Amino acid sequence: MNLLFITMDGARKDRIVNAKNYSKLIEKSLFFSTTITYAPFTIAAMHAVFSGIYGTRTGVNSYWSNINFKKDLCKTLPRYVKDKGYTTYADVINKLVLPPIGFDEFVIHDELNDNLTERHLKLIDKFNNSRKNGEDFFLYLHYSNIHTGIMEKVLKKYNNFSEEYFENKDKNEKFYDELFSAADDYLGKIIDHCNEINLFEDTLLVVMSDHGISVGEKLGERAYGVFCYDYTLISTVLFYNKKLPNLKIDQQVRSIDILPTILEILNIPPDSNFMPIQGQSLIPISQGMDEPRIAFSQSGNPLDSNKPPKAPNIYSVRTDEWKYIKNIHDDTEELYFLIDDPGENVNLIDTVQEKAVQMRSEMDRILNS
Amino acid sequence: MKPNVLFLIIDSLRADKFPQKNQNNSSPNISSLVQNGTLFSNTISSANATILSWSSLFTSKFPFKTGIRSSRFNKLDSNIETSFDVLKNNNYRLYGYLPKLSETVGLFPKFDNDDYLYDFYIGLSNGLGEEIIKKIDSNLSTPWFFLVHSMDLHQPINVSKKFDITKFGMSSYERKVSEIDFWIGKIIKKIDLKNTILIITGDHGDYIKSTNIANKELDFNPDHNKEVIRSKISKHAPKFLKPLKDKVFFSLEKQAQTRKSKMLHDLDLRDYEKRAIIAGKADKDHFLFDELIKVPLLIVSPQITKNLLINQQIRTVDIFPTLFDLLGLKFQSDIDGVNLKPLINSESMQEQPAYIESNPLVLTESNDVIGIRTSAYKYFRDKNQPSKRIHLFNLETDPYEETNLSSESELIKKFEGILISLLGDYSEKISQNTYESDEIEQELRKLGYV
Repeated sequence: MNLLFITMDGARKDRIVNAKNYSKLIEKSLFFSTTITYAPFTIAAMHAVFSGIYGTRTGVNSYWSNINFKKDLCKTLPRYVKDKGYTTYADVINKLVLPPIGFDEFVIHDELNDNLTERHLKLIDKFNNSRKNGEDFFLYLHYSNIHTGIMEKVLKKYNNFSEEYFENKDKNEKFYDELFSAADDYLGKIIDHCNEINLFEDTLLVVMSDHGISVGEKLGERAYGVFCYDYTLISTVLFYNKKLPNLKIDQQVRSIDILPTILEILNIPPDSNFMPIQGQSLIPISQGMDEPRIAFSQSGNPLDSNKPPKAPNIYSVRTDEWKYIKNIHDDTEELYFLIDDPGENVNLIDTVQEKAVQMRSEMDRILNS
Repeated sequence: MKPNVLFLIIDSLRADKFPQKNQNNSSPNISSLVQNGTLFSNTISSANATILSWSSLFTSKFPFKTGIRSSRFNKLDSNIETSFDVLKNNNYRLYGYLPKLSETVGLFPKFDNDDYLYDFYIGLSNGLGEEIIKKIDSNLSTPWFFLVHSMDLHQPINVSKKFDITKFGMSSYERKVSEIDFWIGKIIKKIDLKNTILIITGDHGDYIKSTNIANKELDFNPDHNKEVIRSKISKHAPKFLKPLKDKVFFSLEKQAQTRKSKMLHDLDLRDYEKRAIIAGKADKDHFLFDELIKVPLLIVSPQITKNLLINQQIRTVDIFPTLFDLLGLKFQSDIDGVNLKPLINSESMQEQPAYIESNPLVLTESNDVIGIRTSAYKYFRDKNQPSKRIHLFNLETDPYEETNLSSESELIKKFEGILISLLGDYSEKISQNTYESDEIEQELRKLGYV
């Protein structure tokens, strides 16, 4: 079975579930609406997705630490499928965002000038031809134009404390909606084309968002990659193939669960010569098994600097109900009851001490595992 | 008064091609120096290429502890003490001539002479030799440490007309050694050897791409002039052509290998001769055969035994601890090298296993190996996966490393154990890194994060 994997960079869950084309696809897919990213920025997020392992172990836990990826110890998705004889190709925004190992071709697009729809349709056609010749392929496509808009109109224009930005939430929402609408059009065209050429007969489609994006929820974060709040931590993933059930699952899962899920669908066993995968396949959850997944995340608050820090300085642990945040940079803690307080506004760290102890110990367990 | 030091590194100089004391015809100067010094004939470099070899030689640490992983990726870890630090702290003045490649690794200090960097293709006979002599003549402040790294023997070899005759050897490699000998003779004439320690060594070996069949020399060496032109065109090509340029390079290398394989098919050559001729610059599979890592080490000093040949295995990490002992200096940090004084004094000394590592390619990902060499065995395997590309050779019965004993599981277990104990906590950090931090910052800027 071939693999077409699309990352919708910076796609927010609240837009995904309501968008025209996205929701049409969700209806047919195995969709996980609450997929907690390991890191709310692409570089660390995608290294975790591709290895099924948190950055605490892979070495990639910050914007800067791509160089530390333990590629000799962590077997990544393209390497798994490459070992099965797949032709592998990645079209990405930047060379830092993924570990390139295992890709036959690792191509960087020009996010400012390239027409990604046309470019990606051509790539799909190219690999459809290989498919007709009986060759298996893994095509990875990065839709980067939400990032492009945010970079041009938010990152370059404002800082994390710009009054103009945080006082105009409606304007920010509107701008994000424009970017998202274009993203949804892109997805619609890609899916329509794949349907026309019957690609999904023998191809697994994976569509994920790597992290969300702020529209001005919290002062101090104009976009993403600063805090560990839900508007950036919640991403989504869907798996589409005729053999898979069409289900919408709201239970929390983790981005590190994506790799083992793909491996299970493709019938590829984990390679015991490498570091064990921390994520777990989502297939048992789709079959009704009750398997809670506690999610760990890390981010890097640049504080007064104009550069992200070299190491993460905010950690969080999340369950379906609770979020515990440890701010390493100022040694403070936060605890939120997400059911009543999805906006994470009421810090319960001093009032629900028993839960705080439990969540702290969960974080320690993950950090020391 | 502290002695001066002239430290000559001849790039790609193999131990088996280093002139011996009776080679007065072809290499009279080195031959005479060998009679006046101590020659170690089994010196194992930590790596098969310059960058990792330097990283280890000048820190007396195994390369994986230095931060340097290959030419474009990572610089020396700023916390690592180098031999230059020790020399500077002891008031040595540092002079040198190094190829420009040395700029990339952050290992070398600022030398007292501003003109210490030279272009890759500049050799002793086309300018470098005269420059060195001029510098030595210029009244250097004492005590001095003068480092020269000559690229003369590096492929493509360009032998001057005067030396390109049979008297100086059959291959261009041997003839070039004689040409280097000529320049060493000119340089040491300018040195007061009563108050100077002279060291001659190589950073690594190389395959010799020529062979003699029925008294006829078959030369498969790349043509020097063509290589220079190719390199210049490549250097000045616009950046956007780089992917195409790299593709062309790998394709040409592959074509050359296929051509050579066909030519060798009917020739009666041994495996080690064939592998040398076929080996190409773009080979992704790297090896650590002796011809790539065994170098000579000659020490000439009034304090040292004359006309002594030591065959016991030593390592390039041992060079500076030994030199520093002669100078009364010491590294302040922990090092992997040992002082070879007992051997020089003809006393017994336990052999140390040599850690060896292949240097990654720059343009593409290579399959690199790490391993251990003792005087009896050589063991190396895939850098990332211990069970892959295993090579084990019995050096006593198979000195040309033609019979791989990879099924000898007990021996492999033993040497893997030694390797792991040398790697220690670094075993997880051994893999090649991808980009250096300046490059990352540039990429993050493109993404709007910096």
